[in-house]
Amino acid sequence: MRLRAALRLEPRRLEAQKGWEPLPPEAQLELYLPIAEMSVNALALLALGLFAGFLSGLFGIGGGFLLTPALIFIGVPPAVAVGSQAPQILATSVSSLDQQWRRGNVDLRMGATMLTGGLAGSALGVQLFGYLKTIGQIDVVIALAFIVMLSSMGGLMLAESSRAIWRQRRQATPVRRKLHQHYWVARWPLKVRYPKSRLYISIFLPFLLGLGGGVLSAIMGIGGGFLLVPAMIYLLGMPTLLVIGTSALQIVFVAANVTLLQAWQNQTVDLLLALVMIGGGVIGAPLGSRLSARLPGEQLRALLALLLVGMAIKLLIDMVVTPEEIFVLGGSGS
Amino acid sequence: MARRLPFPLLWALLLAPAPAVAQAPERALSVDLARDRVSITSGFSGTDLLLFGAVDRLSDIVVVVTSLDTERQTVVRKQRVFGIWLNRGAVTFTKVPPLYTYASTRPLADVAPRAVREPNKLGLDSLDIEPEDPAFAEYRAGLIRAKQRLGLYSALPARVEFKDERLFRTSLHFPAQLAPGRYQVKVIQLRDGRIVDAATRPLFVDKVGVGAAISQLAERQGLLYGLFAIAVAAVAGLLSGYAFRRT
Repeated sequence: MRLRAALRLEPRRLEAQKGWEPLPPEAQLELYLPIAEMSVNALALLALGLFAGFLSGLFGIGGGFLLTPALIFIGVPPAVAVGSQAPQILATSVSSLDQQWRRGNVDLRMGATMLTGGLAGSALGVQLFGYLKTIGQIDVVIALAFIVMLSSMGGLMLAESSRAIWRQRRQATPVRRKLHQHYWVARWPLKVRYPKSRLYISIFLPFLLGLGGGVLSAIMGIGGGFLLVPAMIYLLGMPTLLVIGTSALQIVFVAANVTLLQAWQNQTVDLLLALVMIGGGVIGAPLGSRLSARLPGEQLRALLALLLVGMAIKLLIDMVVTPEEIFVLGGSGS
Repeated sequence: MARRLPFPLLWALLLAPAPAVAQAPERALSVDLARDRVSITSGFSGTDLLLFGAVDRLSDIVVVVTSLDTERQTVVRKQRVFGIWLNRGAVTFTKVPPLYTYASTRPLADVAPRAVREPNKLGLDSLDIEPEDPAFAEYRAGLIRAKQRLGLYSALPARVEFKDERLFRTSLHFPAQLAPGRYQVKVIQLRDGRIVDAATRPLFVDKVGVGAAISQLAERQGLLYGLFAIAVAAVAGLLSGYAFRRT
């Protein structure tokens, strides 16, 4: 009994002594992400958001395709990285939509057609995402999708801007473009008039474009602006003035739909992560766009193209190099 | 801090071949934790928890921290296909403890023979991770290595130190990837490879603060959470748009 009595006092007395205290509290700059269930360095995360925001301002792009792989690199589960990108895309695009709407640069009829496809596509994409997540293939699919997209876009842009820079050097007269070009898609059925864009095209064309954008948005965590914009200019033949506003309309509502469905069905939206990313973008993007005004356009495009190709190469190397560990954790649940 | 006395007498039966003392055996082991709750705040990056206790005389002490709830965990094997490493083949294990860490006075193999470690689930080798098919041995080893990289399973035991002949203490580490839930700290006293006494302490891990609010809303009211996320993102985007156009 004496021992028990002594022990009841002992620990408390000992705790006060040196060497018995628990370790001091951890560094304050860690941020615990509640849905990802992991902690990341808050400064590193903010820097990542700032950098992506800066680049998106510099190049006039959404930045989702930069952030999703970057988040995966720092250890955020791919599913959460993609899911949490959707609110960030919504935040960056909604302001652009607001501006373009006030200037009347939105073709509502075209936007509605695309959005019908976009909402269906993103709903489909979220289902596909959930399925790939359960069979443990989502990270491979995300990486492959990024490799294909980044390398093809980057390669095309690199070819085009190097041609343009070459022409500038030779000081040749620029080739005059047609208002828009007609391809085989012009023969598609069910043509509809889009008076604002002055187009008479098959309804399937913008619908499928929206559908594809929606699927990619859900699976890759991108807005898809840098795919939609060239497609709307070259494939649909829309006036460039209306393209930015109309694509913003599509992106905002698709991102909202992805946010809702990823949060509701897959539970992969980490709002804290999204907020840090949004914060970084809010500060970074104006800095980037200020700098872009001072830099020559074609060189800037070449730089972006190089960045895209570089990221594709990095992702590809990661998939080709023999991994240190061939067994990895897949999905878990109770 | 509340101390739970008297201790459960479950393990007292093991003292059956006791010496000539006729009366009810007094507990040889008593332990407690510095805290019985770990809170995951928005600054959580793992934590250390002090465990201390006393025994009647110098013994081996093994401390095992494990989760009361097990989960299903899929392990994927990467394989090279056309030069690219793809996920080929997966095994889903059931009854996987999300956490299994331990501390010990000496390496487990020196503390107790396999015949004692196995039934008492001492050490990663004796975890019941079903299916226990020998064909999945590689996957099982891969699962354990992956958990060890996350700090959720011990790669090496932490040290249990004796302050004198009776008082011992150890520091239990919990990594940043710790999932909320019910955990159990089990302290086992061994002498000459046999279990003398054991005691368990419950440990609760929960999220608190903003993080808790977010994950609770996300889990229980997914639709509402989604709508909330849309509203927050849209407002943040619009406000920042106005703020930067004025300046």
